[in-house]
Amino acid sequence: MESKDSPMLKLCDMSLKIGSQNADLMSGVSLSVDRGETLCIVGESGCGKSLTALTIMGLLPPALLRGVRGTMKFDGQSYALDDPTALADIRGRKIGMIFQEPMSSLNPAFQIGDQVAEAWRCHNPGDGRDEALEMLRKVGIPAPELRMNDYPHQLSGGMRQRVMIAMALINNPDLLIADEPTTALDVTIQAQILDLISDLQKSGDMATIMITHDLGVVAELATKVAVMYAGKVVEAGSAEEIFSDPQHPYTIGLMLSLPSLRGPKSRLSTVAGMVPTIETMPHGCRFSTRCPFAQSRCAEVPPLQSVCADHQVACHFAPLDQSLKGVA
Amino acid sequence: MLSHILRRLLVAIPTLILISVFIFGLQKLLPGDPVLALAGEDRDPETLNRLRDLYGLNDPIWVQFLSWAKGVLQGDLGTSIRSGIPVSQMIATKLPVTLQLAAMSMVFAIFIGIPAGIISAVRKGTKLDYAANVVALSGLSIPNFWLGIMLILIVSVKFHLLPASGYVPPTEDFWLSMKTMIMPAFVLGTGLAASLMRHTRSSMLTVMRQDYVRTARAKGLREPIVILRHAFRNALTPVVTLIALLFGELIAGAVLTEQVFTIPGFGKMIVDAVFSRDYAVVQGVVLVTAIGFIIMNLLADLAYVLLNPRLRGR
Ligand SMILES: Nc1ncnc2c1ncn2[C@@H]1O[C@H](COP(=O)(O)OP(=O)(O)OP(=O)(O)O)[C@@H](O)[C@H]1O
Ligand code: SF4
Ligand SMILES: [Mg+2]
Repeated sequence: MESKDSPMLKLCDMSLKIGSQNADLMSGVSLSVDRGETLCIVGESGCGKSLTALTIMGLLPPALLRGVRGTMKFDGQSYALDDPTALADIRGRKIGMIFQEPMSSLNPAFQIGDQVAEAWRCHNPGDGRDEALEMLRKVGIPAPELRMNDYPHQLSGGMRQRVMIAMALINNPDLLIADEPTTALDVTIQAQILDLISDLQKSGDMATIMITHDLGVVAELATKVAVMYAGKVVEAGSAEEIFSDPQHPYTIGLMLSLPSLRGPKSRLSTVAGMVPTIETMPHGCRFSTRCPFAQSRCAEVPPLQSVCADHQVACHFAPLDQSLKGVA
Repeated sequence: MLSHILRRLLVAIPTLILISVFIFGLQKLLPGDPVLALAGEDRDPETLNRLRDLYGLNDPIWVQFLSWAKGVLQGDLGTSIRSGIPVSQMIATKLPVTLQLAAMSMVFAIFIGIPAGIISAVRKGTKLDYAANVVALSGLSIPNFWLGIMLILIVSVKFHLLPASGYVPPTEDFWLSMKTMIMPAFVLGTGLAASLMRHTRSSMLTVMRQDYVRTARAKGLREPIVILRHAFRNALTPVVTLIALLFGELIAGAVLTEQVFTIPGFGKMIVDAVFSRDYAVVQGVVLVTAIGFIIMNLLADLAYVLLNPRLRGR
């Protein structure tokens, strides 16, 4: 048995390489999250947030699975990331996931009540109808005893996402992964769904990974933050640390553009320049093509290092207060 | 839903009229004379003319058509000029034969084609997938009559395992009926299995990329359930449509196979009728086949609606 203080989920040094490409799509990603915590993963589109989530679920498509390295510890058990067969046992039961695409994530051929009940059925005895009904009520579906006979196309996007939440939480998972659960929804609905998730989370004792573009959401929900850039974690730590003392130039860029991020559907694109593609990936620091502080040293890969107890940064010049003198 | 069916049936009426007119006209263009074929040795012009009068063959073509159509509306498809038997009665004895053959072929096609399609989609890019595709392509390119003759030579002539030809109604002797029909059904079925397999495969490949299949896996469902309940259920629509259409084709398209196995079905009947210029029989068979086609099309439509919750209740 593991010692009590090891976190619920620990992702260790995950990397992902596609075929013969020379740069890793994802490289050295490590994360951890414990009961009662909400880890927010932030980063621009395409930086590997969804791939990280799918890896934890063991749901990578076969073509990508071949290139995955790393291990994961969940609830005291170790898992090899390239072999998701062992994960099949905890998927849906101990880890629930809500996806980015509520409109297409429900099966159009089955009634929603049945789809939620199925999530119960495949891990528990009984047909799960009562549990599904209860869960649909909990996530705020009006008249659930009627609505559970509806097909997905009869529901709005917000309602469908509620159904997805019901499905993800029906087995009382230890970990909930929410991959941009509101990106595809109307602004008015977004807040409702986020409130719902945080309410449900508080009522249980889950660990939560919330993937988002929205630093406003991070400020509201996060207890821990991981900032990702181009397939790497560039800064991680407690939410207070990250917000009060951001160290990585990329994080700082995001923070500086925060006011404009309060608007609807901001895509964190206010840092000047573009994310390098896998073909144009710089050898050293992956942010060096956009970094205002880039120096010759940045041609070497900066390791993720602790700047204080609850705060790691992958930049040669962290902690900043010392190195800013050098730049000035 | 009901209005949808009614609308389709209404459209079917002009279709049937058009087909009848077309076939009627085409037959009159055919060289050859039914009366000559009928009269045999007796070539006395007087007799021939009397026969023509008797069968209304001296009337203008549109009169002939109208009198035929009038009969059809009263449920009378006319009489075979050769055998003197009412066409409807001939059809009533031949149609079950062909339907049995078509149904058994379809069973073969479904039980070979659909599993093969699912497996090659799930195992896409593996040796199994390639093997299935090669077999399917062979199934499509080997002519049915050749396969039929080969089977007869090997299974019946050499090893005496199954009867080579003939037909026994299942009501008479069920097992013997199955035995005589199994080879021709296999021959017809393999060709269909190939196209069913290709359709199932491509439909499955599309569906398996969908987000809801990922959701099914995320619930923790086992892979066979993900594939059969969540993916295949949604891949079914085009496959079922194809089955209905293929079945319609089978009714008319079994001609060669019926010839090879000398099965007294619809296909053989239509060939015999064309050769002997037995107009009423040809007309009747074409009409019934067309109706069969339209019914299968309608069933395909219905299946489409029933399989899609989005379209149900409209
Ligand atoms: N099946 C795949 N094959 C090859 N590359 C892929 C595949 N799926 C994703 N990628 C690539 O991996 C990178 C990370 O994708 P991912 O979906 O994790 O991004 P993300 O951070 O979730 O972005 P977004 O905010 O847009 O959802 C992207 O550059 C994407 O092009
Ligand atoms: S390592 Fe260099 S390029 Fe990378 S973030 Fe730090 S300063 Fe910028
Ligand atoms: Mg994503």
